Amino acid sequence: MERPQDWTLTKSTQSHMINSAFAGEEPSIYDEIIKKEKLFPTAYHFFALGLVYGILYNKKSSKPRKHDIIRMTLISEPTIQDVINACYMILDDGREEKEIVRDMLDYADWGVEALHKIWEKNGSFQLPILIEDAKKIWEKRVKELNNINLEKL
Amino acid sequence: MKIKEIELYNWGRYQKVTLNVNVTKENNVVLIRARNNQGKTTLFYAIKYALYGKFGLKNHKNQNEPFEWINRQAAAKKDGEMCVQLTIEHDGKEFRIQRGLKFFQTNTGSEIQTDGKEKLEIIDQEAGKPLSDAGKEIAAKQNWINSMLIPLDVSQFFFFDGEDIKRYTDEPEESVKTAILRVLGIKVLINAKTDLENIQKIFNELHNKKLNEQSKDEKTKLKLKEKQDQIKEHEIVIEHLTGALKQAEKLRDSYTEKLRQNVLAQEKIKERQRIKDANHILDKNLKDNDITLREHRGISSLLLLHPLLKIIDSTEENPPSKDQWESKTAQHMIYEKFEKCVCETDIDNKIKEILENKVIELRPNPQAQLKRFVEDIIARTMPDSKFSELRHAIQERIRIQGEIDTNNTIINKINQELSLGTPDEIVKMLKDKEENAQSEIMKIGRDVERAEDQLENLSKEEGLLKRKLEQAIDSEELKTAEEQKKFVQKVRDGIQKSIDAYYKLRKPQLEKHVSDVFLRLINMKKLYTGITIDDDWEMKVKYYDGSLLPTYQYGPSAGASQIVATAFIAGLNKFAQKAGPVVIDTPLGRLDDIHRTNLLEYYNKMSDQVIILYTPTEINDKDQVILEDYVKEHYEIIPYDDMPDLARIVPYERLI
Repeated sequence: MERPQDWTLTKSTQSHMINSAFAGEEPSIYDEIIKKEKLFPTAYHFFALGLVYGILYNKKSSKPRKHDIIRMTLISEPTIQDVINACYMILDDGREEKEIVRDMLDYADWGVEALHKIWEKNGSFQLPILIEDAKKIWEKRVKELNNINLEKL
Repeated sequence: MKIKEIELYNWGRYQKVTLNVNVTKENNVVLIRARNNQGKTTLFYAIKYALYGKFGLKNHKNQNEPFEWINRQAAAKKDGEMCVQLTIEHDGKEFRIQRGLKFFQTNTGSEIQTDGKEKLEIIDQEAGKPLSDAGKEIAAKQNWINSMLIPLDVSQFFFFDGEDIKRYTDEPEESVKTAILRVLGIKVLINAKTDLENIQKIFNELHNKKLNEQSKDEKTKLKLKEKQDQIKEHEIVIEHLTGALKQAEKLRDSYTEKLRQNVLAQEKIKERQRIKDANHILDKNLKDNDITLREHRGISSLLLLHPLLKIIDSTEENPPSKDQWESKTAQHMIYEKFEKCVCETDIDNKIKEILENKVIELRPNPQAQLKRFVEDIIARTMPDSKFSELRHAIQERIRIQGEIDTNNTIINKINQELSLGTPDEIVKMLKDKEENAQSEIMKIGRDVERAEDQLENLSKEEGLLKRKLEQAIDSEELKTAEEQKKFVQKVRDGIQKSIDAYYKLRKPQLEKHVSDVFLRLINMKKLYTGITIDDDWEMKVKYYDGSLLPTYQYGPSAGASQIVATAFIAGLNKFAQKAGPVVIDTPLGRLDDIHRTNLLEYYNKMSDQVIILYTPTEINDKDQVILEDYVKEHYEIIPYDDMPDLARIVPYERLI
């Protein structure tokens, strides 16, 4: 089905660069997962998973993000655009867009690092288990998030 | 024959057990479940011991003597008696077979001492006393069991261990061959022929003696003596040659066997290649699966977010949709300057004021915006079905990987078996040796033929000389001896012809029985057309293209031979003149899942009474459903809580 709408983020936000503490020259997590192991179609697919995982556990990385991955405007996969947009809207608490995006990148870095640890330990991301676990965690986590009407939940 | 009840006293792990195993026509199966080392095989051998004494124990791997089955705890306490009792129904009558022996108090760990006198009683239940037809001596009673119920050697087709029956698919031992001949009804004829040969010898000697006594023609008698000495010498020569022939045949067979093993090795190499080829395909599937999984992982962020999206989707819009609708409607009516409402009410100032109050400010609300966005995402991306696809792809990967691992295990096993492989030179060398041995056999065979021709001539000459002597004697006694001799010869020849004819008639029938059962037990019915049995009772599986495969080559699993062996046993069981209970220990042995269901579906058809002793891992709850309709009794063997070395048998509740 064709996407009915454009990016929710403003034009200026779309031009934001996605960067990470774990990208860049080898050995880096992105390099290992994307180039070596070829576990995701592109780096931004892995970024999106890390982003959601970080928001889910409400954990941010404080490591300096040195290496660029992709400019948001160049993400062509509609599902990933949707996920990033949804995350933005969930985190939107009225602050400046730049700040929210910075938060997103910190969340994503924490998620990417945590996922990498899972993969190293188990040889897989154990996605079905992560997704099943997420059901319970989101139920608690949702109460901390803005922009969700909790009145009748 | 049907077993109605089994009673054990101080037998193995059982101190006192009474077990009702009576069945009906509709419910002809008794299931007895036990974990390993709980007393399943002990019960199996108790039945065999009751019927055949120590001969019933000979197939057990280490306990072949009755005293080894005496309950140790009982022997440690005091003197006592070990006894196994079967209540059976045979030809409409009820009998009780009791067998046992007395033992003396023995220290734990020492060999249990007995009085050495086995007791066997066969009691006519109706009369309430020992069966007089069975005789008084233990041998006579045993003979009654063998002749009236099931002969010992034939019993292997009634009482068998699923794991052990693979031996029938190898070249059968002599005892198995004898049992097969008995089942086919040929053994009786062979026995009769052997008896007649012995009688023939006696009559020959008698005739010679009379001739020698009554003839006065010393010259002819001398010639006859010479001929008979020559005949004896020839017989010795023939005996030697036959011995040499057997030796040469043995040598040839050993080469053939080695060659067969090498051929087997080559077949294994082919099998290994086939598995490697299969692994190549699986590897490719795995690579395809890698790509699929990568795609699914790519959108796993959506799947991880999905539970939250679902929560958002279930929230209320804020402001509520109804308010928004009313507000928009009011705004529209004011903007379009409606004079009347749809209900024909005039819109006067008062109503206009109400409408204006309805117009609430509809600024873009982040909560509402998110909710609509989420609704949109869920509708477009359908995360639930994406999650199913991801799980399916992961399961598929596990399956493929599992298959590859299994194949690699098989390949490693074949590599171990082959160790250094099979050089063609060895096969060539063995073939040469086999050919040489065959040439030797031909040579000796010709010598035997020649010696037999000479013997035949000598026998003719002996006959002429005897006739010459006989003609000179007018003796009724001699004539009678001659007639007796000829008559026995005729009968003997007649029986040999009967054996040949009967064998030709019966063997194809057996093959048909075995093939029918085999085809019922297998899944790939289109690939196999049946079983052939050669004159040495070796079995081969008939492939659809007409080629004959060794039994182990049927199917890829380790249990392949068990299927053929079961078919063979079931075929012989059906063929046996005797009807008896089938008692199976370890019914599914090493069988794979493919054949489990087929075999379980077949077992109840094997006999009017089927007793199955199984482990929970062999027949699980799901498998039991297959047998459920036929089960009369279902027991479980469990240890006593306070005495784990002793076993008891209790009803197992699941099916009853």
